[in-house]
Amino acid sequence: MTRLDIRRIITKYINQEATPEEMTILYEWVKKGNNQEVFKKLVQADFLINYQNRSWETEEAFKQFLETIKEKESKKVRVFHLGKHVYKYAAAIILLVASSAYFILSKNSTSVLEPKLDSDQITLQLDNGEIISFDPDSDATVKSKTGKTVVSLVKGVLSQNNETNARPNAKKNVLRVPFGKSLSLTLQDGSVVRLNSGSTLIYPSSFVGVDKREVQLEGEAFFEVAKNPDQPFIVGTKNMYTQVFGTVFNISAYDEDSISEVVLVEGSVGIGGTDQTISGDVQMLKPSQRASSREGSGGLFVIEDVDVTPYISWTQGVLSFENEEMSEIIKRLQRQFNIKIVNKHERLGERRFTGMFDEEDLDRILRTIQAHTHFSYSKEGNTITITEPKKQ
Amino acid sequence: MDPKSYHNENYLVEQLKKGSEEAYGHLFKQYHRELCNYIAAITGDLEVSEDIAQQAFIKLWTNRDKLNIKENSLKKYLFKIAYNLFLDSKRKEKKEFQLLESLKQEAYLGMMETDASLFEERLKKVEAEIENLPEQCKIVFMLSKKEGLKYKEISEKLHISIKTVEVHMAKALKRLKAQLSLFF
Repeated sequence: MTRLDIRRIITKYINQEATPEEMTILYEWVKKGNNQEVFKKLVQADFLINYQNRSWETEEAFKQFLETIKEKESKKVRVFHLGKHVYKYAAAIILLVASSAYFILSKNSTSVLEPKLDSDQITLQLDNGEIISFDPDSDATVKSKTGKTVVSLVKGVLSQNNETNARPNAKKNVLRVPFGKSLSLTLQDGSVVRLNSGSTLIYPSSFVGVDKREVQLEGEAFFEVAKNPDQPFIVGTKNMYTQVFGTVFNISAYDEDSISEVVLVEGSVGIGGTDQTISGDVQMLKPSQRASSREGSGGLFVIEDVDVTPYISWTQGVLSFENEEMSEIIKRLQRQFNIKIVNKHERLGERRFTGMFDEEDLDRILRTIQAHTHFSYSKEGNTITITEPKKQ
Repeated sequence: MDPKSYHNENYLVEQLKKGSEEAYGHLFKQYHRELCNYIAAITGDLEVSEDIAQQAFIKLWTNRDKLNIKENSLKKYLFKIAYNLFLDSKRKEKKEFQLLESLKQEAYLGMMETDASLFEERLKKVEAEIENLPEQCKIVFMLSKKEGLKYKEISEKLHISIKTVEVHMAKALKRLKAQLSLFF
């Protein structure tokens, strides 16, 4: 590495032209000796090159500022940022829920879960047993054979129209999202459910005439529940149920994960074990709280305060890990990228990582983790094998 | 100095904590332009810069109860919020090479803390030095910095290799930095 080489790389980095390999080289270089100072001086020189004394609309900006803070004060709107997206939840309820295969609300419905997810298609099994499949990447409108149901997929959002109102005891629809995909679904009451990859949701075509809005989930989903105090919204999962009192939340409960969790973004929800009833022992969650239950904990929940952003970033296509064990990260990568990862480097599984990725490139994610710890990996077909680092 | 003047930072901070509209007005008057210029030099995007600056003021307001500002560090506090907002929007790089990004942040905050007249002097120095760059080096440099072309676009436009572009750019930055060293 000559001095010219490294200067060339720093300059590229500053001009956002550096390749990942060059960034790795630079990262190693800057850790040595006085290099940090050299690097900073070059950054400062570049800053001066770019600096221009412009005039800005300060008065207009201040006016907008006053409007924004007044709005915030009057509505107490919670605003959080995810990249460029700004959410404002005034009345909706958002809930992130994750859970596994057996549903409390339909204990004998396990047979409904077959056939297993084995294609790249999103499948919707209608209440009459008919199965419709969709390519998640293109828009489509499909009419059921009976002609009574029209299902349309537009820009990744699925909605369903039934000619007649369903009877209260209508059978459920089963929506399956394959690994590597995600999908939004608008329910009949206007609630929106965003399903993460490898998740299944069971829901009725209509909530008309029932006293509770009940859905069942395996996997992970983000709920924006339409307010309706007369019809509580309930999400059932393997280990727990969540009753919504008007809210935004995320549930994660994959069968293969040892933890089921509910993260509340806005509103109010109650959490209970699967054998409890609504009138039973329900624990209330406040916004920015997470309830989690380990398998075999006998329905005990741990409730803690969290920053919700990492839990719901997947809804924006951002993969986020917050001090998570590599073994858990591997499970998530498998689901996200629909790939098999074999870890033969045992100690790595226990190491914890924090990171965020908004790019759907598995190689890049693995290389980034490699920059912090040593391991080797190889790819063959649809399987990635992680091994201890090769001795140099 | 009048203890009840907004030019007195302690008083200003006190009023900001109380949410005084007037105090925020003063804060805008004092720092908005400079903050926008500062972020624009980092992002290279005027719209994004205005947006980040606005979010920074709002964030300061939102956290006004918790404002814990040491003597004469209000400006640094505000600029730091803005820089962190910028980082959030580029989370990938932030997490990927945290060390490099935190060094960049130190470097930028260092710039913001320099005395205004010294800063002006350096700006002029840089401008003059750009004029003194060797012919071909200057052409490449201007295409990148003033026209905003990517290295690849420059190489195509001038029919030179990307490697040559890289070398010219590195050379230009080194020369400009060398001039500045006299001041640092």
